Amino acid sequence: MRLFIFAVFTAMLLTSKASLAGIDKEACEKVFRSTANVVDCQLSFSTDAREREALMKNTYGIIRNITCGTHLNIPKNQVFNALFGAGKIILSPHTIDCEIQTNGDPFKIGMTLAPFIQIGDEGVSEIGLNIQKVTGLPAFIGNLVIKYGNSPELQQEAKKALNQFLANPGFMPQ
Amino acid sequence: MRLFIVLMAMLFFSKASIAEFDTKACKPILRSTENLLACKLGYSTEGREREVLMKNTYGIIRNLTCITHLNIPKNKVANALLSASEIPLPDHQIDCEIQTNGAQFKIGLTVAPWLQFGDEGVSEVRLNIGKVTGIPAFLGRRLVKYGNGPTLQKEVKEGLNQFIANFCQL
Repeated sequence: MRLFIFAVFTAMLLTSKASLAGIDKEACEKVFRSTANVVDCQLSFSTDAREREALMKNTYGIIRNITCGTHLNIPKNQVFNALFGAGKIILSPHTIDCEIQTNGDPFKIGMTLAPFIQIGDEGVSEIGLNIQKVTGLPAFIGNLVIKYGNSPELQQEAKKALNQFLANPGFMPQ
Repeated sequence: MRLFIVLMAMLFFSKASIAEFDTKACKPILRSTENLLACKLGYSTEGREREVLMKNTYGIIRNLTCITHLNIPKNKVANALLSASEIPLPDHQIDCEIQTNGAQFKIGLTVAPWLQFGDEGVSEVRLNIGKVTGIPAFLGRRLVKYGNGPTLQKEVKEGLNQFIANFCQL
């Protein structure tokens, strides 16, 4: 199931190489396991104690906690058909809203991304996060986030993370 | 004879119950005095199974049809059954068409099953899936791993023993 790609993306955007633990997937799991085609549900995630520590360390003591939420809207058949046919998954724009707790005031940041994923013989062969908009930050910082989020380095990391996930997925029995 | 169908279906949706398979070509040879059961065996899901398939695959897979060319020496099976020994079967190619919500895929796989009979029926099964074609290699490898894994072998064993139990009641 774990279409928590967005969680991974967001975490990577904010804390490179993060691993996310506290994900509230109840609503999405139910839809995923039904015969409805569109996984249309609210997905939220937050850092756990260990991640909070890493986050704090990685941001030199500035960021203390992150909680994010997004409304997923993913047609299952598009994902499955692309996986089995080595095709391309083009997702509709998703807005991720995050609350960032710093050593001081909390900030609300939003970003819109419309990712695409190309599947090849060995898994994900190409990925584009396609971050289109960042809100809640001064424009010059928002532009930096977009630039970093769409950079080849981050696409490479997202690709690696997804392939790692595909190597040990929940969607295929062991 | 249902072995391949059971195997294939189990690969795609665990604990399958198989109803609709085309035995037209195989039945006369099975009932003849010829030793080699060489015939085409086809399978497709029927109405109820399609529903189960759809439910088990979360609405993604709509239909499944498979075909294989059987090549089984009857004496080998009968002798193994009666003397509680093993049956190593030759390579069989199974070709399937999978209808999903929005696309159609052709998947092929080779199996060279091996069965061991014991006092209580089938005591051990190995599917020996060798090759999967038609899907990306990384998924093919997963399928081979799962298909040759202990969970599926156990299910196939149970399915076969159930089949033998039903067969003996006829």
